[in-house]
Amino acid sequence: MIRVAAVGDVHMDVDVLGRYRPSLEQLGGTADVLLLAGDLTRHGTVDEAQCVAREFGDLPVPVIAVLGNHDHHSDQPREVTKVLASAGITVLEGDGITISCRDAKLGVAGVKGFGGGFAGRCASMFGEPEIKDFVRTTERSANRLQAALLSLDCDVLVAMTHYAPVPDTLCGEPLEIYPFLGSYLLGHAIDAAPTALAVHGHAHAGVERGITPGGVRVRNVAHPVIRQAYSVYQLELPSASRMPVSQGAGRGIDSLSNDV
Amino acid sequence: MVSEARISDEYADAAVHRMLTEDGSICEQGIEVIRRDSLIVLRGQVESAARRDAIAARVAAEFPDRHVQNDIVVTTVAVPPEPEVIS
Ligand SMILES: [Fe+2]
Ligand SMILES: [Fe+2]
Repeated sequence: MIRVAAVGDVHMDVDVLGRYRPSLEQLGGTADVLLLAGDLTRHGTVDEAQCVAREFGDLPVPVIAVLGNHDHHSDQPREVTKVLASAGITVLEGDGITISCRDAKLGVAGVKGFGGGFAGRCASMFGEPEIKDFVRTTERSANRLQAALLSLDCDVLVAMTHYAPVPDTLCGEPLEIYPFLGSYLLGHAIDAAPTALAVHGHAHAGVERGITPGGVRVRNVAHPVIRQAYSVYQLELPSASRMPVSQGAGRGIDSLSNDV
Repeated sequence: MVSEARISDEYADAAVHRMLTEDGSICEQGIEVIRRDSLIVLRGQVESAARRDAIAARVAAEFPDRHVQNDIVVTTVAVPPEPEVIS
């Protein structure tokens, strides 16, 4: 089995520094990895990223993150990523990583994702360039997620996004803002690979549990949803050994795969 | 930003909603602002008491003649009791 701890939307700043730390320091006994599902900061500044690095760096388990929309607000996602990386936090954006957990290999692929809405009620690539750009952004992100998922050679595969891949976990959010909360294209990418679990954040007023059309369990780990420092998901190993892997997809495995 | 003359307008709701997100000192997207006859109720979750109080102060400044009932809670950071088994 592999135990995956996850939380999103921690929105760190100096005023909350140290708050998560007592719970995080107990992770060694309860989880093999910690996933941070975006919106790690309030405004996406370097100072706030340094708060994230202090809070979530130097933990007893590997820490893997994607950025969220808040982490882009100051137009410094590269600088934010650099600060997190310097604290040993792996930031995924269209790529993946594998981690050896005792006798099994966990693969995690991640992107921030974007909006657009869900099947039958979604934006289409039509009309003004601004709308086409919006839809193209989500399509590109979903394609990168799919390529990264398919590139990983592992026993258990997890997908991480900030935006939601299904509408199930948005229940409680106003229907009118669903197109700003996620896209079915992310779910489609997750279903195209042998994904065991998909985690996301962003929907603070949503619910924790959902499922993709293809049957992949989805968990909204936004902090206001799970109301604890992190949730832990225990994933059983498939009875067959290593999953089939398609060759040459994505840049994930070559550039970022590193057994921790 | 939100004038008292427009207090019953939907525009006031829109302006408050945007202000809570776009004001750099607040930056919260998930706060519910519910207007009742003589009061304004705030609901949602934030990461600190200071953030909760800052939101209420900002909304109170926009609606000086209304009582602001602050039902925003600070999200807890406990260790989860047990893992969820996904098979
Ligand atoms: Fe968030
Ligand atoms: Fe978000």
